[in-house]
Amino acid sequence: MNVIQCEDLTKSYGKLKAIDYLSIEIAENKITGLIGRNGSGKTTLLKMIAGYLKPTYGELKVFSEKPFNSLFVSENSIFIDDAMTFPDSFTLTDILTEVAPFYANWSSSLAKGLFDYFSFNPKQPHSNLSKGSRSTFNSILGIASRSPLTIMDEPTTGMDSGVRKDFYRALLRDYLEYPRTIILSSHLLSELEEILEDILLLDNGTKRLHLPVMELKELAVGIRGNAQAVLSFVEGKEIIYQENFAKGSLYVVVRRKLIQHQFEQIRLSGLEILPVSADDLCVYLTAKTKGGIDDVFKRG
Amino acid sequence: MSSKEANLLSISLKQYFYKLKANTGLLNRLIITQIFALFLSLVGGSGMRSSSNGELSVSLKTYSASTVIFFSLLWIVIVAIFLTTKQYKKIEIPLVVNRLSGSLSDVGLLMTASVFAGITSSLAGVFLRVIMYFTFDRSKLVINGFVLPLSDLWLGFNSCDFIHDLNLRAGLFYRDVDSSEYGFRNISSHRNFGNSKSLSRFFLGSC
Repeated sequence: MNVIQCEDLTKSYGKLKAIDYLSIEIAENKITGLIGRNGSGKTTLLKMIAGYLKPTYGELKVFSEKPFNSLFVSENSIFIDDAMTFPDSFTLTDILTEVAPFYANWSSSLAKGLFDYFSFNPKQPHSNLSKGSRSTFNSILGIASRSPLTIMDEPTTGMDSGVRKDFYRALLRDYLEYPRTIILSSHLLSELEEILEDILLLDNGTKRLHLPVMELKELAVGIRGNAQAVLSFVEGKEIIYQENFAKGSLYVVVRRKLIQHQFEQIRLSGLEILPVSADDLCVYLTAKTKGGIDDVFKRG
Repeated sequence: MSSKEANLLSISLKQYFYKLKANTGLLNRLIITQIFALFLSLVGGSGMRSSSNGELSVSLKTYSASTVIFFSLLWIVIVAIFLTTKQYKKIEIPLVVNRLSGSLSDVGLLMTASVFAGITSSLAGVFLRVIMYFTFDRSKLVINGFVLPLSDLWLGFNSCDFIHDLNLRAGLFYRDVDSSEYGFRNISSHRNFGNSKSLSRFFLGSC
């Protein structure tokens, strides 16, 4: 059963296409990470799924319904980001009690537990919270709502590393107890990959990759060593990333399956074969140039 | 996955209570406005008539709480404008909402504000009488019509309701009106507003 299904989904702001003919399917009860560079269309996609924005073109179905202006989708989903606004007349505890009636699966005990654990001041208004605390508080809403579709747009913005770890753990534990579909968008893939099942990589509004995290980790390998030796092996193959070191040394990232059969030879030629982390790979895949930021300085 | 059917009315009602609690601060402004208006009507009165035939001169000064009603109407208009601001719209985003339920709960909020403003401004008329009874020279007060009948109280919130109706018509155009929302423009009927001036009028005669 697919919770989210979209085909040729397009959203344009004037001439700019934020989402460009995107077709994806997100299965039920999975934690999907939405990864992409700044401006790649992550937030736009999430807002369309949550029903805040209307697609310009294409079909988008959430729980088999069009999400835009749909009460049904709104009732079964929650969208958490750091722009959430609450009335100033509410204290933090007020917000937890007032928002609760809207979400059928809301767990007051969990909300209270997390609220106390992160030691918030119950009398504080939401607008006075610091950036990190605001993200933490909003995340509490996201977790405690136990909404069948929980969407979090960069939930960890401003959180310190201790809080981030606690947040990931809390999310995972509650997810295991009450499975639901969760979409997280984040830049910190290295921290997030522990809890993600699938990764959806966006690049300029199009889908670059959509596969399980385990497969992504195995997708590519790096080869490092003498430039000529390295090039002889990757000649004619698609190079995902290339970085020059001093003394004629070269580091190249290629798809694993392209050179898998040559691993022995590569090792014998004195080259190193290194695993590529999912985080780095995503950066390489969405880079504008093959050499990264170094290219800028070369020209100068 | 939830298969629960969304119930528009119950959700609008939840939103209504949420918004009501969220906007209690608006009440303080109403109270301040009414006190100010009460002060104006106490100091200024609303009309003066005098006549004389050479030997006897009669001057008649009318005090009326209609200024309070006027200011309360102004308050409702301001509330209605506030309901269309971005700042206000933002607070409904974290909730379960669509445009129709948002409009419905706004209608409810505006109605409550109108009824409240209507009743309090009528009561402000009573308050004006009380103040005058204890501070003015009682022998000069014309007591006729000094007690506010219930029907006037009713009229008070009807008159505010009329403006609310106008607001509703204007306010809903502010949202992206889609066909489903058209029906609510006529949700409250027209009420006569013409008699409101007689609402809390009484006389102070002096010879």
